[in-house]
Order: sequence, then C-alpha cells, then structure tokens
Amino acid sequence: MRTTKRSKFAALVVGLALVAGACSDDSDSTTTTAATDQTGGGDTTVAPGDETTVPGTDPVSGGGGTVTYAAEQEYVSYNNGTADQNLFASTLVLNMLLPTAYIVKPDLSLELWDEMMVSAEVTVEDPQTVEYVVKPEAVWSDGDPIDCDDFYMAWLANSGKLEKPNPDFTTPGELDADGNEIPEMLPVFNTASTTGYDSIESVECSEDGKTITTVFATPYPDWQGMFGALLPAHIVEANAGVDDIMAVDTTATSADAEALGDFWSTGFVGVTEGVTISGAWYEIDSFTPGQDLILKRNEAFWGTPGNLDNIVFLQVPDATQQPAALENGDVQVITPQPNPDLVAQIEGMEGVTSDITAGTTWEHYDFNQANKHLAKVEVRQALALCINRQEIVDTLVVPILPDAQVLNNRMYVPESPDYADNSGDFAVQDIDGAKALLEGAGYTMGDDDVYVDADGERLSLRLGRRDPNPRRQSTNELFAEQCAAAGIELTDDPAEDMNAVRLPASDYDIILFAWVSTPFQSANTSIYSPGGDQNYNSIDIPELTDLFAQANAEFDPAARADLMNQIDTILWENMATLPLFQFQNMVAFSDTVSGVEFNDPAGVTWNANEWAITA
Amino acid sequence: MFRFVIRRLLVVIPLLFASSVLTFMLVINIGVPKKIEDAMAKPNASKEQIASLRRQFGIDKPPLERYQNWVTGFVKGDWGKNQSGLEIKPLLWERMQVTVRLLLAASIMSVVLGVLIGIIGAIRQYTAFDYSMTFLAFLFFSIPAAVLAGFLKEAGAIQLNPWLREPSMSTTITVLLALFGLVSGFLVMRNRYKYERERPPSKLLTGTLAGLGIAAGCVLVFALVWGGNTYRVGNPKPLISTVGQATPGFEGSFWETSQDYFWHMVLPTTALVLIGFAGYSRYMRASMLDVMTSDYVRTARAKGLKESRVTGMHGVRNALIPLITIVALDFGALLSGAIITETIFGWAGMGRFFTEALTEKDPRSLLAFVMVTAVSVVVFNLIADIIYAQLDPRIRLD
Repeated sequence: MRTTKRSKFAALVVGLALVAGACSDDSDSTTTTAATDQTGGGDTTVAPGDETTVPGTDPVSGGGGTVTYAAEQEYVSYNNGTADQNLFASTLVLNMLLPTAYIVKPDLSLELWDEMMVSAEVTVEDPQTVEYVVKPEAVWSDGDPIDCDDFYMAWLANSGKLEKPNPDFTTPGELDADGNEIPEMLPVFNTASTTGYDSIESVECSEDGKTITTVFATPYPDWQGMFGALLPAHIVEANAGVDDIMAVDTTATSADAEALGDFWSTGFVGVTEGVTISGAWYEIDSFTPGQDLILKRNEAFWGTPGNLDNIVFLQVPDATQQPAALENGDVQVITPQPNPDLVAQIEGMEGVTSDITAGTTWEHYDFNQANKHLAKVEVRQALALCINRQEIVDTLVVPILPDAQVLNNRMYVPESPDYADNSGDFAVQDIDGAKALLEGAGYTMGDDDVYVDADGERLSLRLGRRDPNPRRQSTNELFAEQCAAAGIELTDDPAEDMNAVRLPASDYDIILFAWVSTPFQSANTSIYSPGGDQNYNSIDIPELTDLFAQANAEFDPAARADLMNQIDTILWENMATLPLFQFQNMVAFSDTVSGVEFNDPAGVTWNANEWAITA
Repeated sequence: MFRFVIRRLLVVIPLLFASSVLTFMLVINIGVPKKIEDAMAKPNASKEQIASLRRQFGIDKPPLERYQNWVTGFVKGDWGKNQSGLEIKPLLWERMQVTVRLLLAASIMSVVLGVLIGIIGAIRQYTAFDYSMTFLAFLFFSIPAAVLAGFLKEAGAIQLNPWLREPSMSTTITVLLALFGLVSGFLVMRNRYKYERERPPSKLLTGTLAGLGIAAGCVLVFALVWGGNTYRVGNPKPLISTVGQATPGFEGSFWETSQDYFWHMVLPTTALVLIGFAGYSRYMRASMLDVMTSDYVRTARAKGLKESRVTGMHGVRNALIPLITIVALDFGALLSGAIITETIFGWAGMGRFFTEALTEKDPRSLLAFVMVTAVSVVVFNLIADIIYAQLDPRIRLD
C-alpha cells in the first residue's frame, strides 16, 4: 500500500515535468507568428505594424505605433499656470497638447512655433508693442479657432490685476496662525506667475481674431517666453457662463471675471471630456489616475501630424525600477536621475540607447552677508580661492558625466551661446592667495590653525544644505577639507527644512542649493538686487541696479547678453555667490524608438511628435 | 452576539476621534506642504505667490480651526481635495480597489500555503520537507522585499519573457527536470515513510485530487502561455510585466482583460506570497506542534479515532485559534496597502496613496487614509472574535 502511494507522488512529479515539456514542444509551431522579442537580446527588431497590434489601436502605414514613457510623477492639471496645480509632470503631457507661441529648444534658445504662428515680432520698441499672427487654419480639437480670445485670456488671468475680497479678512493688520498678515484681497485668477503679463497694458484683436497686438507699459525683453501653453478661452467662457471674455474688464473685478477666475483656477484639474481639449499634435485619449495617461493623435490638427498613434505615460513612481521596466520592454523611454550605479546598469543593457547631458539646474554656494565674517568681501573671496571646484566636479560629477566641467557663470550655462567664463582670478584654487586676503583683512592665524579676526572670533562658518542629500553632503565635506588648509573652519549644517524655511529666512552662513537657468534673464533681477524677493544673501551692489534696469529694457539679444555678462563679472569680483556645476540629466530609450532628445526646460516630450518606431 | 457587535462597532467613534486628532497634529507638525516647499525653491517665487498657496492649503489658519473644518466636512461626506486639487474620496476608493485586487489573492494564498506547510511541518516534524520549508521560511522572511523583487524582475520577467515569446525546451532539460522531480519526490516520500504512524488518507481521494490538479495546471499554463490565445499573439508587450497593474489602454474581451490583470499580478503576488507564507507557516507549525502533543489529542487517539479526524478536528481546529488573531490583524491592515511592494511594482494602491499623502504632507489625505484603515482594522478584529466563538465553543461573545 505504501509503495503505491510513493509511486503515485513520484508519478505526479514526473507527470508535471513531462506535461511542461510537452506543452512547450507544442508551442514552437503555434507562436512563430508572434512579434519578435523586443526586451532583451541583440536583435530587437520589431516591424512597425507589429507595434500597433495592441487591441484597441489601429496600425497606420508609414508611422504609427505606441511608445510608453515611464513617468515618475503623474499628470495633475490641464492648467499648469495655477500656483497650486503647477507641476512638471503635467508639462510633459501638455507639451503635445497645448498651442504655444514659442518653443524652448534643448540649447535654451527660443523658436517660433511655426505650426501655429505666422509671425511674432516687436513692431514698436517704445512703448513695446508685439504683434502675433496666428495661422487661419489653427483650431482647437473641437473646431473653435485658436485666436485672439485665447491670448486675451492668458493676459487677463496672468496679469494678476483682478482681485476679490478675502472672506477671511476682518480687520486690517490681523495676523493668521503663522504670523502673516491676512490680506484684504485675493487674486481672482490663481496664477503661478505674473511675470511679463503684469507689464502688458492692452491686448487688441484684428477683425478675424488671428492678429493679436500687445502693448506693454514697461519694456519686457523676455516677451518670447509669454503666451506659451495657451488655454481654450471658449471652454472657460462656456463653463463660467460668460458670453464674451473680450468684454470683461481687465482693471475692475466684475461678476463675470469672478466666474471666469473660478473656472480657470479650479476647473481644469484632471481630465474632463470636452474641457481638456487639444490645440496641437495629440489629444488625451484616457486618464487613469495612479496608472496611466494615453494620448492619441488629434485628428483636427492642421499641421504635420505626429508620427506615433499613441503616447502612453505609464506611472512608475519608483525611479529605481525604471531601468528594469525599460529592459523588460514595459516602457520604451525613461528619464531617471542619473547616479553612477544607474548609469552603469543602463549602459550594460543591450538594445538600449542612453544619453547623459549637463542640465540647466546648477549647484552653487551662497554667502549670507548678514554674517559678520561674510560681510567682508575678502572673506568671500578667500573662500572662493581656497575651494577646489575642479576636484569637487571630478569626484562627484565626472563618474556620471565624463566631460563635466566647472560652471563659471551665473546667468548662462555652457550650452548657451551667450556663456562666458567670467571667473577671472577665481578659476583655480589658490590657498596662499586666500591666506593673503584674510591677513589683509585683519585676520591672524590662531593656535588651532584657524584664523581669528580683530575681535578674536574664529573664522568658523556653517555650510547649510538640505538633508538628506548625499551629494550635497560630499560637496560640503570636500569644501571643508579644502579650506581647512587656508585656515577656515567649515562645518556641515544639514537640515530637512533648509530650503523651505531657513533659506527664505536667511538663517544660514553659507548655503548650498540650486537655481534653474531659464532663457528669461529678467528672472535674475530678484536674486541679485537689493530688496529682491530672492536676495536671501543681502547682496547690495549699487552699480547692479542700473545694469539690471538697462538689461531688462534691452531688446537686442547680443547687447543684452553682454550686459548680463557684465553683471556676472561684477558678481564674481564681489563674490556674492559661487557657482559650482550643473546637474545631470539622463534619457534612456529602447532602440526600437527614434527621435528622442532630452530638453531640460521643456521636458523630454518636447518633440514627442517626432518620435517614431524604427523597423 | 448582536449586542456584542453593536458594542464593538461603537468603539469606532472614540477611536476615530483620537486617531484623527493624533494624525492631524503629527501631520501639521512635519513641515510645510511640499507644494510650498517646491515653490520656494524656484527662482521667481514671489512672497504673494507663497502666501496665496498658504491660503489655498489653509495653513494660514490656526490648527483648531483647520481641524474643525476637516471634521465638519468629513462627517458630511466631503473629504476635501488633495494638494493637487483631486477629490480625495473617489481617489481613495479607486486605490482601495487596486489594493484589494493585489493583496486579497496574495493574502489568501499566503494564509492557505502557510497553514498547509505549517500543518505538514508539524505532523512531519524533522523530515526533509520540514527542514527545507523552515529554511525557506526564514530565507524569505529575512530577505528585504526590494532585493526579492529585484531578483524576481530579473529572473521572472527580463530573462523569462524572451523565452516565453518563443518557448522551447531541449530534450536534455526535459529529462533533467523529470529526474529532478523523481529524486526530490523520492526523498520527500522516503522521509515521510520513515515517520509514518497512521493510516494514509484514501488513495482514491488523493489520486483524484492530484489528477485534477495536474489537469487544471496544464490547461491553465497551456492556455495562458502557449495556446494560440488572442491576448498573447501579436501583442508586443512583454508577457510578464515589471511595473503597473494593467496595460495602458488595454481593451479586450473578459478573458483577455483577465489575462492582462493576471500577467501584471504575477510578480508582485509571488513576492507577497513568498514573504507572507513564511510567517504564517512558522506560527501554524508552532501552534500545531503544541496542540498535537496535548492531552486531548492523546485521548482522541486512545479512543481509536481515525488519524485524519484527530489531526483535522482536534488538531488543526484548535491550532488555528492563535493564527486567526494574526490573520485578522493582517487582513485588517490589508487596506493600508503594501507600501514597498506597490512602490517597487508601480501599483497605485493604498500604499501609494499613503506615501503620496505623506510626501505632500497633506493632512486631509492622510486623515482620510487613517479613517478608512482604522475602521477596517476594527471590523476585521470583530470578525476574528466571531470566528473564535465558532472554532471554540468555550468562548462566549456576550
């Protein structure tokens, strides 16, 4: 009896094994018609037609197919211009959706979007008048023309001039729980930025609505950055119950303006049929929060249609899982934050192309001049001399990006044609020079090899940084080590709320953080002029005020770049802040996809209409 | 019984109040919302803008007022919006369904597998089977989920998918597999024979079950992987996915959609079951060993009861009682999602909801999460208490 049982079990095992084997033998004949594997292995060729056979999509000859992008964060809102909904993840989707006057190219240059625009130019310099001409055939996906009312709404919403009473306001000067004054008025349109639009005095339309003339009260040379990601005014009108947005007064708040403002500020969250329509290559096919967003071709698009049938944004929130998803073929394009391990992992994959570039976000040390030592220009200069920025770059950046270089300009990144090395004497480390400067400023070497000033106070400074951030920690450690040789004591000062709380409160000695370089130079004004909203370092260089005023009124790009470089040179001499290096960006994509190019300001999807499945 | 249930359900009210106050206080003290933090780190951020964001998220108001606002809304069914402006209630509902889809199957499989292995391990103590299961249990229990997931993705998807596209098995491998099965089967059986004390279960029953198992397994494997099925043929997507809970935009018949779900579930479910069964099997084994050496089991044997009845009615039933507590707690916590597994496999369930809310430092989302999970824990503990009474007549509820 026992023997029988034993053999039964053995038979079961053998049976399973044989069944598995048998099943597999069968399969060879039945599956040869399936598409070739596109995940691993050298031959990753997939015929264009095969890519499109996911049920629900139709193959299109001479293009078509689906490309899936691994999105770390999720699309949130169709209106990225609101202060609360503004999110880069939405930009990645909206790039293919919303019409825009100018597009930002990977090298930070601006190019007229000639699919929609006939022209856009400054016709009069004083007062600045810009005339936009939109192609007659440009329409929203619901057939409504893209024209003046859309431009008018962008101005109305972003100028920030319309206000409504704050229901929480009772008496003037009353403070809220955090000690901030409760404002009497609130903005009608909850805009993220009024820059540029607040300088516009009027927006006029031609008879056919396709020519838009904007007149500025004060000159704004960065005007090309305006009227990007235009929203459909007719949709806002319809949902707010307003007949004609052009009739809404831009200086005094009316009931109509409030209705428009309410919808503009809150009505575009998520995806709504008939609301989140398209004015460019693709339109939203479906959105499953937490999972994916799918774009399909906009049939009403008047220009060159996009290559792909569908672009899928698959949410992969854990960036460390993106390489595996790429290798497995779940996604075809990823843009992870590069680190040496990740770079090695991706470069080791077959059938995957990767590209690492220096980006527009750049790391820098800021010297808080409210500090007794740092108020002295000699101390700031000595710090810039004792640091070895090349060593920092070699240690921290070169392992990721072999040709990384030290950044020597606060206004431009090396990728920009206007970049100039303004570092002068501060290009390389000079310990003796640093010591000489300190001694010239009345510092004497103390017993513990740290300088003391005339009052006997040690030259000991804290290096603030956000925590946790391993790279910034290493940067601070290197800086401290390098400057110890020059008799300056630097200590790491990590804090979780460094950027959010202590930076705006100027509660630091020296701080390590990053700015984002944009094509719009007027943004620098508030960082380096006295009283500027982001001048956390108490920088006060009288000659800059004038230079900034000149630069912000200069329409000739070359002359403007020249002024900005002059400002930068003065900032180097004054050693207000010290730029270090640019962050790195990475894009990796399957060899089955072509046309992918990283674009730091606009996001990798900036040219997704040109992506294609390669045979 | 009825009064017991009502009493237990009423406990929920003070519990929700206390946990909501605690959560609220903790969240508002972990810092400014991420949106504001991000806004401040941008060039061009004006003070007005930041003030407007503060108003938007209501953090300019005193804590008491904020809490009151939340409670009034919550009781009325208005759970508010998260900081991206999405309504919390439908979002939470959506995430709950995903989590249940992921965790329910995995939890049931873990419990069933854990209990079975625990029982066999106890009644076949110190056999090769027991030793190897103990080893595996400790291995999977101690291995970090991320490492296990990384291994599963590499072996179970990246390496396996190309083979699944065009599967073939050489004769050598087939023979080797069969030999491996024979040898391991023989080893297990030998030990089993050595410690055999009782009459084996009916041959007919085991034979039929085994046969049905093989047949079902083969049909399933054949249909899913190798059959000329419409989901697989011509679909460029890799069969086993490493991320996501479904193919974006996938449309098909019920059979095809089910397969789509299934192939997305394979890896995360395997990871969860491997980690989950380990704990249950150890608890069950210990509990079962304890029961099987007790006096009443000896009495039952002395009465001449069939061994299957001794193990089943007197052993397993009593050994299950302590396990019920753990299982109830785990099922109660099921709605909290599996944070690590969901993150690694890119599923948007309750775990994702929680991590997102915490990153955004959003009190409203976190409060909604805590409310839902607290109720679920209470309900499952209630169920556990009712099951105790069913398993052990000595336990009275009222």
